Amino acid sequence: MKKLFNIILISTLLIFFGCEVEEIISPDSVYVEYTVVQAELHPERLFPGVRFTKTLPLGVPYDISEAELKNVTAYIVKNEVQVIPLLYTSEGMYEPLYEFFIHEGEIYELYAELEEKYIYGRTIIPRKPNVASVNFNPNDYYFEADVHNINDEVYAALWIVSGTPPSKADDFFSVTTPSTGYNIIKKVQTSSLPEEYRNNSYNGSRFIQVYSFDTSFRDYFYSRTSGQQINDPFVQGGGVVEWNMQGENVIGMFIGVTPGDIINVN
Amino acid sequence: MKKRSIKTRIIISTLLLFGLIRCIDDNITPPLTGDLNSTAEMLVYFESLGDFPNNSLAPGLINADEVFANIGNYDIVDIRTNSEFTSGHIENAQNINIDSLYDYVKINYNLGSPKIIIVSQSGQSSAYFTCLLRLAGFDNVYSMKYGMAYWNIQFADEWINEIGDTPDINSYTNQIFEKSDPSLLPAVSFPDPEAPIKERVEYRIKEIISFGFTYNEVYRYHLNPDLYTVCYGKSRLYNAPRDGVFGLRGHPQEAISYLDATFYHFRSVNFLQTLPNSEEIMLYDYDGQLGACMTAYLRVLGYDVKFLLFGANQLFYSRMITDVELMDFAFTSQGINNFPFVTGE
Repeated sequence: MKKLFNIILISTLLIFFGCEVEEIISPDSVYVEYTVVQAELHPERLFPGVRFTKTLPLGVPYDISEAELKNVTAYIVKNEVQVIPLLYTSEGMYEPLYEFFIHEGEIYELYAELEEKYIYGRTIIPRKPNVASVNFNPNDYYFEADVHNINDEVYAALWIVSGTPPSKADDFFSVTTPSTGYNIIKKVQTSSLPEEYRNNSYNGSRFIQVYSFDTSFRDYFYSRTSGQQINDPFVQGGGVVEWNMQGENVIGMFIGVTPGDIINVN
Repeated sequence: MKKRSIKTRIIISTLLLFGLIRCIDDNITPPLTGDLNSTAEMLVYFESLGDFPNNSLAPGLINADEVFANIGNYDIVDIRTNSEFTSGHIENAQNINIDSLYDYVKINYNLGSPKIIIVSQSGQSSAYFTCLLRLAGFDNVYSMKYGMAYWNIQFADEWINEIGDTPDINSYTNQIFEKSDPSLLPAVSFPDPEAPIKERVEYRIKEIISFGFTYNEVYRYHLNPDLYTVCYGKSRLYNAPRDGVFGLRGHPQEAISYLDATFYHFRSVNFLQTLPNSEEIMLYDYDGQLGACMTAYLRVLGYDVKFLLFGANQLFYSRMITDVELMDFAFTSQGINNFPFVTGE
């Protein structure tokens, strides 16, 4: 009996450690081609089309004529019912034959097929952010806005300084967490103002603009540096970027974005 | 002691087995499954070819005088019955049965025929088949407007006998009836759903051609008020002017307006999917030419569409010939030509 248990124990240990696959990477087999889908949908604007491209191996200079995909079958389903075909135009762009406007609250799904592989993406066009109040943090020199939360939306903000030339933050500082429920206020913060805009001469020239996004943007925002080379020990790297596309070896974002009003911050 | 040792080993083994099962791979994202919707794919295909039914080219009409001027150059395809053909046809016309129409057109298209003219008795079935052939990509196919009826008075009886005013005209109204809420595209099945879309479209078009023009019944004399009734044309076809011949009696009760050029309500981005996908639809237009084409298109997409022969010409002909906005769509004896024809095979 003791022997039997020892055999089971050793076998299990062997199998357990055996299942840790040691992947031997050959330089020739490292490259995996990905299909890249890009579309940013803004309300009250024409549907811009969807770009389908493929990644190119390292060392190959990026050339859109090499990267573009011309043989995708694609269509949009609006509000879970209405089918709108997308047709190849140029440089990997697939556009509807007839123009149409996007509106807040609409749901857009992308269905596509490329060489018998299926691609799917879904987004909701967020509502224009309803900003309750804004303020300036004089200690850390950032702007903050209180936004009335809407389900399935997240928020981010940019600082803007008017003048000649005007200046705008390059990127969002953070993205709010998604919440469900009524009467929830979300705080959204910009990155810190650059030093040159902190003195009093810019009073009255400083603004904040809040953006609403489909919730999937948050996952993307916080993972987007993951796939990059690790040069800075404090930056996440080497992990997986959270794209909102589904399909085998498909990456990219098909995302609804709604910019809010530009609001003066005293 | 021994008992405890056995117990311990059982626990350790169980834990390790548990770990083994977990390490098999719990990090696999389920692959996206499911094909694209076949009807949606057909829509993509038709739009990639220019969306013939929903642009100014539809229904691909050609006037009898242009055909007469090019008898030697154009490929004239007469789709009437053999007895109709032998009783009189355009010189050099080929009498082609609809069963072989698709293949005939395909061969001649590939041979570089400049124009293939489909000819029928009234121009309605020819408009219907022309639209189907255009959807298949044969962009040089035309339907002779009003068919043989405008070629020679000898063939105009059917048209002349059908035009008139419906006895129901007093129940007509200018009241606007709303379109249905959008619904999914109808489902269309194919014997080989994995075949390339071009092959599936070809199959579907051949299938619709094989049903003939009058399959599922066309409404020759009256509209059926129980069906989802579509008035396809400009807003003037739907609404009658106060000072018109019938006053404000523009359309039958419950009829719903779908606009043609330049609004094109049957475009994918407009109101195509407000057509009910599981209900019979009754469509009428001005004169049965454009309406036949749109009926063909909608049937390919899987909609159950009935069609009113001769269109508004048999509902309110008096209005058609007196309203300046509609009179171009009225069949008139002035439009009938006196072109020669030959009899026999």
